[in-house]
Amino acid sequence: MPGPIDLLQGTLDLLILKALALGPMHGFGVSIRIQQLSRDALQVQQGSLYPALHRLEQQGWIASDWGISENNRKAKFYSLTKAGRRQLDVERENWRKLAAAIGLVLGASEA
Amino acid sequence: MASLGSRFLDILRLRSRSLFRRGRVEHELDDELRFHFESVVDRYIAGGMGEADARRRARLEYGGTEQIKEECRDMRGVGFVENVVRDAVYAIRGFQRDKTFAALAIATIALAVGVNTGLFTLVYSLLFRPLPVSDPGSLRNVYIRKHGEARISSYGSRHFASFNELTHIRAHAGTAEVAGVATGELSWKGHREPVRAQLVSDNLLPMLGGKPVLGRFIAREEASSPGSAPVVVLSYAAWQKHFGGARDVVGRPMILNRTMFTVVGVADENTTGPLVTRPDAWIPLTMQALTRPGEPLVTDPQANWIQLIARRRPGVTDAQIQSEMAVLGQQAIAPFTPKNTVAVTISPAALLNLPEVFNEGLPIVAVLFIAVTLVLLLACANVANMLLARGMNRRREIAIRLAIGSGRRRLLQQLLVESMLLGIAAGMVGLLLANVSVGALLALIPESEIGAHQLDLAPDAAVLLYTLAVSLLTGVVFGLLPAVNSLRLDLTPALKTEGLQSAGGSRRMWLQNSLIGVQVAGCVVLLASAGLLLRGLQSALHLDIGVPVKNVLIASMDFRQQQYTGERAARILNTARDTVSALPGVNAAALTAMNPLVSESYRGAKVILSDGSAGPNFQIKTDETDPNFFAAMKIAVLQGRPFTSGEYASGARVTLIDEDLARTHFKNQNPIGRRLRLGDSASDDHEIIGVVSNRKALEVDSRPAPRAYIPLVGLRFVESRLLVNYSGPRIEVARAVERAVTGLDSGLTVRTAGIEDNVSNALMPVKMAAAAASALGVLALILACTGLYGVVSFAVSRRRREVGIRLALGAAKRDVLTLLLRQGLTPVAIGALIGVALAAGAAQIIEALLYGVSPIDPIAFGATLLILAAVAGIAAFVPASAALSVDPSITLRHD
Repeated sequence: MPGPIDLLQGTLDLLILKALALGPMHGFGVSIRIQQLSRDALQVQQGSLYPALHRLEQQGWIASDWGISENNRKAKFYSLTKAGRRQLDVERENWRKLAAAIGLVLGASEA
Repeated sequence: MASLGSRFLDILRLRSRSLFRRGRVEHELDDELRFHFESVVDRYIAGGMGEADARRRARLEYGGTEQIKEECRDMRGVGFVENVVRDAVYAIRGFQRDKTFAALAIATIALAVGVNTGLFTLVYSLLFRPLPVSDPGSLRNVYIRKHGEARISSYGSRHFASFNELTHIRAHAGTAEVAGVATGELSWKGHREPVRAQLVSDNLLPMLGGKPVLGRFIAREEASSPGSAPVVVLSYAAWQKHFGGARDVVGRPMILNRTMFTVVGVADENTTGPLVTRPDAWIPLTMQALTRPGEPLVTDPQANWIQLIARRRPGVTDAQIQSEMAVLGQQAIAPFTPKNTVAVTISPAALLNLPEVFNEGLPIVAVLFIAVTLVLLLACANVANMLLARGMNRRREIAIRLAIGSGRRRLLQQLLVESMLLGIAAGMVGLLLANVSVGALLALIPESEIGAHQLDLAPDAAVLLYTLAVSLLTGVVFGLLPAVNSLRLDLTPALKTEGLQSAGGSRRMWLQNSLIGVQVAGCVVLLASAGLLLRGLQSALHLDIGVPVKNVLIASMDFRQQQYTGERAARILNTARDTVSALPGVNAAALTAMNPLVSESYRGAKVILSDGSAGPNFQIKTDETDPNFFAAMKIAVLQGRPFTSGEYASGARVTLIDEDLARTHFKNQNPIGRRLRLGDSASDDHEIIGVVSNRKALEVDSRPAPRAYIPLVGLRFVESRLLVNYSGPRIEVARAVERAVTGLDSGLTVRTAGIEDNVSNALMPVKMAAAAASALGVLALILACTGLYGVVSFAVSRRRREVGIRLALGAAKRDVLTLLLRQGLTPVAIGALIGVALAAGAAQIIEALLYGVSPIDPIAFGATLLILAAVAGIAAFVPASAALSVDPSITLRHD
């Protein structure tokens, strides 16, 4: 298993929004989902996950509701709001630009 | 857009939820994190681990939940408010532990905030506070000033209206209902005390929300034509006091100014009029002629004597009232003085907000505010010093908190919350102090001087807000410097014990010393000002003002109230003077229209040149007197002669001028026989028949002007009084004078006063200024010296070890004491020097109150420095010598 990659500042928001775009989920589920989708390359620590969830909720991009988890526990489920969906598009676009730009730089022929 | 709005609402809901339902939110946060933890544990168990191992593993991975919670809270954006509340609770606990510090700091700031709030309350109550009437918010004072060439005579203020203007404006105003008020004193037959009346238009009392408890108010037709209806409405207080609250008072007669009035009603208790003083009664404006016989103002379209008050109609702006009043005012004066222009000022109704009160009062109020702010700053410096010293003791606490990761910003916030809390506590105490002291101050003003005032000094929203703002600001001012300073510390030594003793605090000592310097400078400014004012007062009392300041009795009669004509008043006064002159113990008796040292009359004058043309216009003071005046007032006739009795009896156009006038306008020529024009035309020319010695005025605001004396004539006798230069007991002379006057007309009331009383009244402003400056100066001295005491004892305690070593090595106690004193007193000396320079500058502002004392008077400044040196010396000596009296072996072992 390769070691987890340090997340670039700001990319965590994008990952959380994307994870929730697949359907409402509690915080633990979000971290598992990101880990699985990245094939264990990305592990989100709860120390950054929960502050990020609360921040996104404050921004109005995600909403929360209490529900029952798959293991029958009371859990706080987050879901993407309309504004969050728009924000996901914006961040996805930003990420593409950034990745393309970095690709250009790295792709330059070395003398 | 709708989504944006709803999103905003969501955010608002979340924020307020996190703020107001903190318990619930915290609880949910716990649940959320516990769920995560349990899920992790579940996962490990599912992976084949035993429960105990799974839990241990999860806990290791999990880290501290507290930190996550803190970050989540920060994300929710309520951290600030929550932290402030937590800091406040923490600070209060700290104060409870350190009660002496908290009490001292609060007391220090409370004194200074108290003086500040007291001054604000006084100024605010006079100038801005809404009137004690129903719906004061829509009440406006309307000031209407006429500019132009034609004769404009004012009674009370240039911004008052004539009866004609009031009638016209009231009849046509659409933006507001307009009423008028003036004041007058009436003599009530059978009563010694005068009746203080307000002359009002019929709509004034209803406009203020007044209701009659008995009878009715003034009817419209009773206040529309001159002299029409002698009716009187009693105030509730006067009804209780003079009629014992009799229910049948309506219809009873009252003989006021020799005219039979009828009581038509009694106002309710809350109706006390729109002016500073509470009136005893209200009479129609149209009865004015009765209050000033010979001066019927109602029919004079150019007499400005009525203050206009308006009730704004709903939906109208002040600007609309202003423009309408300006147009209506212009229309009102057009038939009489078409060349004049009208300027209208509208201001929210308050007890006393005349434009001239603002203009003339502003400099005085500004100086006072500077003085009280200075005291506040000194108090801040004091408490800042206490906090600096306290900060030394708290270094360890702060170092530990910084070491475990508290942000410096958070700590700064905490320290500032602490000092603002002190500020607010002090503000509350200060508010109480202000209220009590201003109330006591006002109680000192004798009621008979102005009648009962209705100043409301109870703190209202504006006063509370002001005090709160001052307190918070004070808290920041005295708290910021020590707070920043205590955060700027090096952790390693601070955490170790010796850090407390290290010399790392030299910067801090420098700060403390600077603060002492500032305090001493401010203290010197206040003390020196007080000293100068006291010297000025002393100088004024011994000033040769050209007239005797004792043994002159002044007897005034209520001619005006008794409807006297000029001729009748002249007859009574002349006869009374002759009778009194013959009494034993009377050196001379005379008549004058001016109350010596209290009232002055200014007018323009021109010297008639040798070719018969008039020279340039200049201002002089004039006194209208009889021939005996110069003898009675011991004014020397240097050249020429006084009026003859023939000139006096015929009102001849002759005048005596004082040395000043002779010197400035006649240079080396002989003024006798020359002419002085006291008016516009040749008929106002007066022949100069003598030159008399100068006399000085004592009033603070008197513009220096030369003086001329002319014979008393006509209506001026109604205003005149009898001066008696006597030897022997004053009371007997006063009785004899009273008998002489009442023997001629038993209806007259005689009031007698000594010229000393006039001197004392004239010096009231400088006395009050000296008292205020002394009080503030002493307060400043106490603040500076307690501050100095604290700093020196603190410095000594920090150097205990050094002192111990010096003594152990054989240094003489005297030398060590000298060293400590020198270091303690150096900032005092520097501060004193700066203070002297500032005080010399400040003295220019109060020069008018100094009566010839130099603004850099050596006695005032010398005494200030002497007092300062003595008190500061003690404040430094006591803690220093106490430190030296301890056996060095004890201090050395102590650490």
